[in-house]
Amino acid sequence: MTSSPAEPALELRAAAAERSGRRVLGPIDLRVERGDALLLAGPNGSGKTTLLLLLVGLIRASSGSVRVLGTSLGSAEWRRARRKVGYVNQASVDTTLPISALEVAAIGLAGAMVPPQLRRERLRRAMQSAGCLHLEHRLYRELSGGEKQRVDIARCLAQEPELLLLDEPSAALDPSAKEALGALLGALHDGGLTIVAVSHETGSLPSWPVASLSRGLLEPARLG
Amino acid sequence: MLEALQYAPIARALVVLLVAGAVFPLTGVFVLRLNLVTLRFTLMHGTMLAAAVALALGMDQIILAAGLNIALVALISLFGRKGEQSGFGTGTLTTFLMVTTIGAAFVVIYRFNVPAKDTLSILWGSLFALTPRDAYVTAGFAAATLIFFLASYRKLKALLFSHDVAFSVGIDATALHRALLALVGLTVALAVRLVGALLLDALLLLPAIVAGFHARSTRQLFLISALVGVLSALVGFFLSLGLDIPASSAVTMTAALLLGIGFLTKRRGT
Repeated sequence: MTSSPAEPALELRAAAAERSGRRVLGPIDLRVERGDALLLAGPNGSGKTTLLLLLVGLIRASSGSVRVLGTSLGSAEWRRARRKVGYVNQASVDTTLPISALEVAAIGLAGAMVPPQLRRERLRRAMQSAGCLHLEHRLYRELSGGEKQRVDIARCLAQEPELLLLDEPSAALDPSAKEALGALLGALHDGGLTIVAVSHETGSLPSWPVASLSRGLLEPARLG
Repeated sequence: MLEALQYAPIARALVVLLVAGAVFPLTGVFVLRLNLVTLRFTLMHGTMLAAAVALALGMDQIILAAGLNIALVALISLFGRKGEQSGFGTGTLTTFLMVTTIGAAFVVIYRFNVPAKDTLSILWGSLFALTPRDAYVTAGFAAATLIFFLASYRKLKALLFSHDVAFSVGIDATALHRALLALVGLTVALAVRLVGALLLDALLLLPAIVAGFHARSTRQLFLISALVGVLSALVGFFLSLGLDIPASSAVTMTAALLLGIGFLTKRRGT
C-alpha cells in the first residue's frame, strides 16, 4: 500500500460529477480523517449515491480532485488501494443468483491473491465480526434484508478495509434489524474503521456527524 | 443404431456435440444472468451474415463468423457507452446491428444466388457435414473456454453477483465483461455451425435456464448447465439416428423436454 496513514481517508476538492451530460454533484469540498465516521444525508436526487459512486471510482469527477486513502482516483496506486475500500450497495446486486452467504463473503477476496488457508481464516473472522457466521451455508437470496446487510459487511471485512462505504444501509430493514445494524456499524467504527454511510434517514444509524446534500451541494456537517 | 458410429462424420458429430453440450451452456449462464439475450440475437444475425458471405464467396464460415462477431462486440463495447448521452447507447446500437446484419445477410443471399438448401443449412446447422478441422476448432475452443472459466472463476462469480461490487474489490470488471462478450460472440459463431442459427439456444440457453431452477450455489449453476447440455446432446443425437429426424431438432426437443421437467420439479422460491 502506497497511501500514507497521515493522509485523510477521503479528500474532495471542488469535485463535481455529471451524469448524462448534466451536473448532478458539486462542486464540493469534503475531508474525512482516518478513523472518523460520517453520515451523508439528503432527499432522493440530492446526489448522495453519485457521491458514493465517485468515491468508489465507478464514475469519474468531471472537475476537481478526489483522493481516497491518499491516492488520486484512477491512478495506479488507487487501483491497489481500492481493495481496502469496502462498498455495500444492495441495489446493484443480482438477488436471484443462487449463491451462498459464504460465497458472497468470499467475493471480498476475489480481487486479491490470498493463500487458501489464510482465505478461510479471513472469511471466518469477517463473518464472525459481522455476526453472520451461522448463515454461511444459507442462500443469499433467501436471507432477510438485515441478514443480507451483515453478509455484505462481512464481504467488506474480508477485504480488511481501511474505509467502509455504505449506500442506504438501513433501507427496507425492520426496526430491530436497523437497531442491530446500527450497533454493528458502531462497533466497527469503535474498532478504528473509517465509515461513510449514505442514507435518506439517519435516525437508525449511530450518532455520527451528519453532512447534508441538497441539489448536489454539501451543507456543513453537524453532529447527529 | 450404434453401428452408425463406424462412419467418421457421424462419430465426429457425436463427439463435437457432446463437447459443445458440456461447454456452451457455461457461456449461456452469463448470457442469461448478465442480460445479454439481445446481444446474443445480434451475434446470431452476425453469424448468419458471415455464413451467407462464406457461402456466396466460398470462404470459411467459422473464421468469418468469429471475426465478424468480435468486430460487433468491439463496436458495442467501444461506442455503446459513449453513445448513452446522445440517445444511441448500448441497447439502441445492439438492436441497430441486430437488424442491419440480418438485412445484409438476405441481400447477400439474394444477390449471390445462394442455393436455398445452403441457406437452410445456416438455419439448421450442418452437424454431419463437419470437417475434422471443424472438430479440432470446437475442441480447442472448448478447452480455451474451460481454462478461462477455471482461471477466472472467482472473478466471474463476483461479476455475476454485481458489476459494481466486483469493481470495488479490485477486479477490472469492465475488461472481464468485455472478455465475456467476446466469448459469447465466438460461442455463437461455433454453435450456428453445429446446430444452426434457429436452434443454438438449445445448447446455449436452455440448459442454463434448467440449472437456474435447481442450483443451490454458483458451482451447481455451472455443473447442472453442463450436465443438461451433455444430456440434451446425447439423447438428442441418438433420437435423431433412431427416428431419422434432423439432429439439431432432436437436440432442441430434448433440451426443451428437460426444461419442462426441470420446471415441474424445481425447488420452491427458485
